[in-house]
Formats: sequence, structure tokens, C-alpha cells
Amino acid sequence: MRAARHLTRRLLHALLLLTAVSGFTFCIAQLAPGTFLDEMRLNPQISAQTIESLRVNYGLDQSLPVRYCRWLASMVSGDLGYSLAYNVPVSKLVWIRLQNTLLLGTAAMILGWMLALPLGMWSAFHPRKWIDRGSSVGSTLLLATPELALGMLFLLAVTRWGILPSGGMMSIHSEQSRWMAATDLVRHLVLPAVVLALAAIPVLLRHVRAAMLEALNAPFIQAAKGHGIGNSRLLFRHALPAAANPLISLFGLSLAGLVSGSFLVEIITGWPGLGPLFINAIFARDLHIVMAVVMLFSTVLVIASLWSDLLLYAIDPRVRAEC
Amino acid sequence: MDGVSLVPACSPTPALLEVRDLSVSYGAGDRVTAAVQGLNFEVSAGEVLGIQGRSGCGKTSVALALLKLLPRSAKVSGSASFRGRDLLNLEDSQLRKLRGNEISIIYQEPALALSPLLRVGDQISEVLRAHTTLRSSERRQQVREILNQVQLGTERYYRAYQHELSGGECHRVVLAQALVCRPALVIADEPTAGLDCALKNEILDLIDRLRREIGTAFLLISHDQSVTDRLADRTISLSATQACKAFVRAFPTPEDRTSVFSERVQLISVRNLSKRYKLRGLFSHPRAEKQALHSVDLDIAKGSLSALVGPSGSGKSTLARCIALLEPPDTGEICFEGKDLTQLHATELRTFRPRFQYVFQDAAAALNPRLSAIETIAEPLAIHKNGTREERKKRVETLMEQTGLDPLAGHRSCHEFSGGQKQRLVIARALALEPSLLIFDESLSGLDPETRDGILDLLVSLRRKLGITQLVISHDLELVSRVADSIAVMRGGRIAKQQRNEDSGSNASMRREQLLSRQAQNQLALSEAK
Repeated sequence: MRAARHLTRRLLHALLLLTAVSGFTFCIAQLAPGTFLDEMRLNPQISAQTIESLRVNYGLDQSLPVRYCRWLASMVSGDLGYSLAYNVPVSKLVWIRLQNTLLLGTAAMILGWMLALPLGMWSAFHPRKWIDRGSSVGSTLLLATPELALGMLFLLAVTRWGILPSGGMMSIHSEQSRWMAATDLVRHLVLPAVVLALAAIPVLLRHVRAAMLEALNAPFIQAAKGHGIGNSRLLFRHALPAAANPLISLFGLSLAGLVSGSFLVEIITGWPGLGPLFINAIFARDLHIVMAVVMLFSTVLVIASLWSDLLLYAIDPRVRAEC
Repeated sequence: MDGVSLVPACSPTPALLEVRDLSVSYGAGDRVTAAVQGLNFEVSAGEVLGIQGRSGCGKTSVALALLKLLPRSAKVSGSASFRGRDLLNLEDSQLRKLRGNEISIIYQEPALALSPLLRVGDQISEVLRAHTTLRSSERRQQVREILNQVQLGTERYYRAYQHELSGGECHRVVLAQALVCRPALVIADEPTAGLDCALKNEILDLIDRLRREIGTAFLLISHDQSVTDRLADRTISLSATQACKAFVRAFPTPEDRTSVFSERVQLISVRNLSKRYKLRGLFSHPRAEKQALHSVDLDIAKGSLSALVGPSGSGKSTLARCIALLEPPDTGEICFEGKDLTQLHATELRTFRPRFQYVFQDAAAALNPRLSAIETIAEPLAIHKNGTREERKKRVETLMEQTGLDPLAGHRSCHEFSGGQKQRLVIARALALEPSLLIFDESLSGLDPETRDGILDLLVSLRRKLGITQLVISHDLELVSRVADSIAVMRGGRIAKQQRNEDSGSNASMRREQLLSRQAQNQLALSEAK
């Protein structure tokens, strides 16, 4: 009963947030100077009447609130609008690319957390020992290296030694078994996922270390130590749940970082995700694609933070008591 | 610790624990501070040995040193032989097997020693899991038994989390946790700290019964002589180290009080002050309102030591926070030096803020553990750019002397001071800007009686020597009536009574208020219980 109330309240918050984001996105898109039709006007081969009829056709002669409401209604029903540049519905362009981006983002996220969590816990357990100092120096270096440079560096290494494909998502083969296709995809995934994960790790590592250090210094962990509870049990059963609270909140945030980071990495490594489409759409003033991508990302982020909220509710009895 | 008095052991059985020449010191180089020096004692099987001493004399260091639980900065020397093994030289793996199994420890603050994320039953079960090979169903059975023995037998307690337990129940749970493996020795560090009299007696009875049932020896550490007298077969007492200097008793004389009231100059007059809090959710209308203050009138005479007394939730902290300009009141006026502070603009208020200094209840939380004592006290001076570095240093030394701290200890980090010394540090910091009014918000609760008396002495001597006006907030009327010139009793957001505290012993009307206040406290306790 309590859980259901908590869930409804969180869902309401999420919906409210998404509505606010949609309004904001729409306004920003409208405020941007120049439209797709303005670009057309520069072309002497297209007559003014054609452009005017296109304007009426696309409903661009309506007032802003009307256009916003129509856009929002179509968004809710799953219709993401029509791309003026590609002349196809936006959803056709976006869905497959969203899948690719999510695949890359998830892989990078899993990789990043898998490295950051044990390393951070280990550093916190042996503060100021070689492992802690080493990971601190390493993460500082990584933090200072831009993703772009990191991506270029890896690309260089990969092409020099030829161990991994240097870009794209699939090799061009006429016939492939399903198994071959899957390994091919993984081989292509390694490079962008590693670059993305490496860019995210310093922040994750520092947060894990700080949260664990605080948990390990808590009086109840000292007390558990005094009761003779072994190190691994102390670390995983007692300290980790206590450190989980800030880390779960970070989980939603780290997704945001990965998503924005993935744009650049996708462009460098030629990963057919939303990144290249988004950048091209901005240059082409293809506003429906831009708005659709922004809305999709916001939805993914809101879902992630909703999920981390619920996870927190499930894990921490103190949060449950407050609700 | 040179003055260790030892009552000779009368039992002929070989000692279970034999401690020889135990010393604990903190710090390195020329900044070493000794917490314990050359301590000798032994505990026989099944015996209760009391260790008694005032706060800051190294009692807790002894407890933690025996199980090697002290931080790495602490240096421990001497020997502690337990069943033929030297505890101070055991390897980590052996030590782990011994902790909780053969020697267990009960920490000072049970609410903090319990994990907030594990159920009570599971936490006790964890100790069994670490030391036995029992299956989980058998462990559950044993946990139920021990919970039964500490009178928390119902299933509700097995499944409860720490935040769902009362203070007394937390004490019982840590006792169960310490005893579940039937250890030969339990080190109990202040097992009754923070409990009221009735609960304290219950816990002591329980310890007494359990140690007879299980046959465990206890090392009972307490500042409270009544605790050690009650349970211990023998008691040794630790004397304080040099860091905490004894303070001269300075309770006010009747002349002090009359001199204050003959002048009758009011420093602060509060008139018709009201404050209400709104509780509000994101999607909801104001859910509830709480009227914290109902048109309160209060006068604080210049140079006086006034007290504000009342049960918790009676609005005394809100009133103090309003007077200290920490919170804006809804209506009413606060007159200070002829100005109504409530009418002033934020920038004008800023010039008044250093004149009011606030000392919070939890001194440890109010101190930055990264700063040394000197840096802490000098910080307000540095913020307001008072004097040169040298002048500030001199001022800090004077302040430390005035508040009974040793200026030589000034380089030590704040967290290395004991509870009472931390409170003195906070007071020294508050005095740095020469305030007109010092407000103590429950600063006296949570201290052991001896330390508390020391702080009370300090307040009186500050008033006498420096003439600083003080407002002391407390729930303990008896305590403040020993030092206060005037006492205001608050109930339900109203001042029930304000009057001069002429002679607390014979004043009938004050006693009546005391009774009323107690009744209010009882009512509150009842409503909380419901």
C-alpha cells in the first residue's frame, strides 16, 4: 500500500518533469534563429508560392501554443513528427538509432561500473596504500583527458595493430551465421564502449571510494569489526549497502554523462547511433528530429532516475520509513 | 595515569585477563599525548571489574586497546594476556576469531553501533555466522533465545530495524549481540550512557542476571560511580590526565544576583513574538501548521545568566533561534539597544550577528575535525579580520585560558579533545568576537555530571569575570536553578512563568513551576509512548 503510494507519487513527479522538459525543448527549438524553410528560400529554383504552401501544409502558420499542443499530443501517441530533410517520419529514423545508442550506452555503463566498483571499494579499504594512490593518479589522468583525444588515441592504436575494426557497427559480409554476426557486433562495440567507459570511470571511482570510506568509518562498521566479522563479509554485507545510497543516486546521473558523451564517441568511431543524426539535424535545421532526440533522452534519464528512486526505496529501510 | 588505586584481588582462581603496564598515546613526535599510562589490572573468570573515572581520562581507550580497535594513530604498549595469549600482539586472523566470540564489546552509543540497514535479528545472527558453523535455521533459533533473554522475545523485535527501536531497546539489542556467542569476557563501555534512571536500573538488573546465567566476566567501564558500585565485584579508578584541569567551584553568591537586578537594564526585550511553521508537500496544500511560539514576552537583563526551561517541543529552541537572528519571527518585536531587530534589513542585521553567539547541543558536530583548536577559535576573528596574526594568537591563548583549556594543547586537532573539552572549545570560539549575548541550546545535556558541573562553573565565572549576558536553554530545571539569576518556564509555545531565581531551595512558586514542568514532561512522554 505504502509502496504503491510511493510509486504513484514518483510517477507523477516523472510526468511533471517530462512535461516541463517538453515545453522547454519546444521553446528553445523555436527560439533558434532560422528554419528549414528559410534555408529553402535561399534556393532560387524554389518559388515563394511553393514555400508558402509547404508552410501551410506543415501547419507552421499556426500560433505557437497550438503548435506546441499538437506536437505534444502526437509525441504522446508515439508519432515523433516528420523529418523535413530526409522526407520520412522521424520515428523511422530514430528508433533503430536509439537502439544502437542504448546498446552502446548500456555496454559502457556495465563496463564502467564493473571496473569502478571493485577498484573504488579496494581503494577505500586500503586508503593511502599503493592501490589507492595508483587509482587516484590514474583517474586524475583520465579525467584530464578529453573524450575526443581518448577516442582518437584508441582509434590510432586499433588501426596500427589491426586487432579490432576501426569503426562502424558491422562488417560487410554477404553471408553470415547468427553467431558470426553477434561476435562481429561485439568486436565493433569494444572500441566505443571502452572509450566511453574510460571517460566515465574517474567520476564513478571517486564517488565509490568516498561513499565506501564514509561507510567503513561509520560506528556500526567499527562495531561489526569488534564482533569479529570477517573482512569480505564486512565489506559486502555491511558496508556496501550502507554506501549504496549515494551510489544509486549517482547511477542515474552517470547515465546522463554517458548519453551526452556517447554523441562525440559515436561520431568519431562511426557508430550509427543518435549522435551523428542529431548533429546533422541541427545543421539542417530539421527541428523535429532535434526535439524528438532531446525528448527521447529526457525520457530515458527520467526512467533511470525513477528506477534508482525505487531501488533506493527497496534497499534502504530508512527511506521506506520516511515515505 | 599515575594515581591508579587497586583493590587486591581476593579470588584465588587464575586471572582470565591480566593487563600489565598498559599505555596508550596519540600523535607523533613532540605532539604525543598520553591517554593511559602504566595501567595494571586483572579480571578473573565470571567476575565483574569496574573501571571508573571522569570523562577524558582514557577509559574508552582501554576498552578499544584490548581488542586492537584503536585507530592507527594510537600507540599501545604493555601486555594483556588472555587465556595465555597476548592480546596486543595477536595476528589479525586470530584476533578476528577472538573478537565477539571469546571477548565481546558493548559500545558507548548502541544506536550508532547498530547498522541502520539490517534487521535486528540478522545483525545478531551475523555474529553467530562469523564464529560458528551453524545453519541459518539453527542460528535463527539461537538468536530468538538470546532476544528472549534480554526480554525482546516477540517476533516484532527480530524483524525490527534500528530506527524503530527506543533507546532502552537498542541497549538490549547490543547486549544480546555481545552475549550471543557466550563469550568469556564482555567489555562494556558506558553500558547505561544516555538512559534515564528507571531504564538504567532495568539494564543494570538485566546485565546482573545475564552474567549470572551465562557466567561471563565483565569489564565495566563507567564515569558513574553508582553503576560500578551496583554491579562490580571490584572497582579501580582512573584519574584524569593533565589535559583536563580541575576548575574552581564558582557557584553564584546572593550578592551576584542582587547586583544584577539592582541595575535592571534590559539587554533584550522580546514582545509578542509569534512563529508558526508550515509543513508542506509538493502537490499538497499546507498539510499542517505548528504554532511554535504564541506571543511570547521575555526580558533578559544585562549581565545576567537567564535560563529558559521546558519540555522538548515547548518552543524554547525556536525562541532562542529567533533571538539569535537565525530565524525570522512572524510577528512581534525583539528590542536590542533600543532597536527593533525584526524591522532591520538583512544587511543591517549582519552587523548585529557577531553580537549574538550560539552554542549548540552537540559540540562534536559543531567543530570541523580538520582544524586544530587554535584554528577553530581564531576562525571567527579571521573572518571578521580582527587584528594581526600575532594578536589573534594571543587572543586565542587568553580565550583558552578563560575557558579552562590548556593553551599548550592548541595544536591538537578538534576531534582529539574529550566531550567536555569540545564544549569548552565551542564556548571559546563563541567568546572570540566578544558577544553581548551567549545562547546555550541544551549544551549541558549529554555530558557526564562531573563535566557538566565544570561547564556550569565556567558559565558562572564568565559572567562574573567578563560580565557576559547568557541565556541557557535546558529541560532540566533543577540543574539551571543552581546557577541562573532568572528562570523562564516554557510550555506549549508560551512563557508560563518568568521570575528571579532568588533561592531555588526555598522558593515555593518555583517549585510549583518545576512540578508543572515535570507534569508537562510526563504528558509528553505519555503521548510519545502512545
